Amino acid sequence: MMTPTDIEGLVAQRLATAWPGFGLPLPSRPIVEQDRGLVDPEALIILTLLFVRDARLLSDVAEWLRVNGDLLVHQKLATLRRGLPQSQRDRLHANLDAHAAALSRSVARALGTGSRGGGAGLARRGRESRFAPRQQVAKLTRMLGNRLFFGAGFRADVVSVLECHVRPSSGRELARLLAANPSTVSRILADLAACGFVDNKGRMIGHQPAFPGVFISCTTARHLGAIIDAARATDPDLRRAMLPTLEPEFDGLGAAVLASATS
Amino acid sequence: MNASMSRPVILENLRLVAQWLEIKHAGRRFEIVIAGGAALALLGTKEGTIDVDVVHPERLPAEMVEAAQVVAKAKGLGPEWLSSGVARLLELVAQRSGVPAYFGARERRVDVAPNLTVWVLGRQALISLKLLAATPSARKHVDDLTALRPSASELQEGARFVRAYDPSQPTGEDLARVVRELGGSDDDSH
Repeated sequence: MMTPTDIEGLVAQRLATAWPGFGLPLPSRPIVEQDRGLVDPEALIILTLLFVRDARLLSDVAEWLRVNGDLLVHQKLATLRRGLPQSQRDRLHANLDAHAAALSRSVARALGTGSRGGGAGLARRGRESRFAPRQQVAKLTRMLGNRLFFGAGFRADVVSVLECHVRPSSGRELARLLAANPSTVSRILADLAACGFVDNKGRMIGHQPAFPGVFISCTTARHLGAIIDAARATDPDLRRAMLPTLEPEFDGLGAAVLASATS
Repeated sequence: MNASMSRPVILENLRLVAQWLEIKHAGRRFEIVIAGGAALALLGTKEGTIDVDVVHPERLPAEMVEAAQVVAKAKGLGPEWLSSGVARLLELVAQRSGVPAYFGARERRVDVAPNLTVWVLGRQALISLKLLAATPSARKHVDDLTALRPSASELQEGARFVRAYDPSQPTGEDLARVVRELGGSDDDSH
């Protein structure tokens, strides 16, 4: 199995390829969600802050957060952060500290940084002008596109997941995938059924699924940490027992990393 | 799933628990006190055992429970291979008759890993607990007691503990038979 450091490097590389779809000016080609699956913005943000070491990319991400804070589901960011083990939370904060001043107060609060934020990223404003416009981002990243349409909340994310070929088998699973409260997801599904958007089995009426599943999800955030932890075990049986059971359709990145790490 | 663990295997499995704890909860230190067959195996008076009985802490911390589950999965052990069942029994003893002071004694310290220290419960407490569990038909415990070679005074002290916890006649009769089998007299079981 690859070493934890090598796996973290691989994860960082893969995460970097997701950011062009969010409009960052990076040389790699954006992930094609129709081929790979959806990218959950909050999961990508948390994972980037955990695993990426590239100061320039981190700086761009902080700037992106400042500019696009209105597109984020802050509750999801906070839930994901709270679900991290303490060691990872410490790491996330350490990574954020250098860039926290650029964040808006609400994003800083959701990420639990000591800084009060305030959006004082004046030095980076020149960089912001190189970000792709929202209309382009909306085409590349479905969840952000749907948030522009439905508003930044779980409703947009539920609709995004319903647009996938493979969907979670229950509202509770869907809530878990989105780090949402099950009652919130249940209410949204009931609303969507009431207005004829989905049938009573949660399938969209009159729309063809466009995405294979979810490539980077809230479960990815949980699984990657577990894969790296498993790589730290010296006993091969313990290592195997520590590896998470993945569902590739809802965690394409985790499955890809696990396959590379153990090949 | 319930294969007997020898002394080296017990230590190896506890080391894996420690390794998991270090990976998931770096910097934290854990300490347990064990009794039963695993304690005897660590003292070298028993070949093997199927579980490790923890007497302290009274409730295993959630982190250790999770670690034990992962190690059980890794090594094909029973789900209760690291169990605080005896600690819960001691809670009952404490409520009913009180726990003698010698339960605070420790026979041996085993540094399993920098973050996990295992203590073997004191000899008298081991004997008393074994006497509590032993009946003429529960050979395992009688054999364990035989291997411990308790002195007459240790048997007397253990019998006092058992009688205080359960003064019923059937227990008294079982106790007397076990004590006789161990070379003690009827007086030793009162």
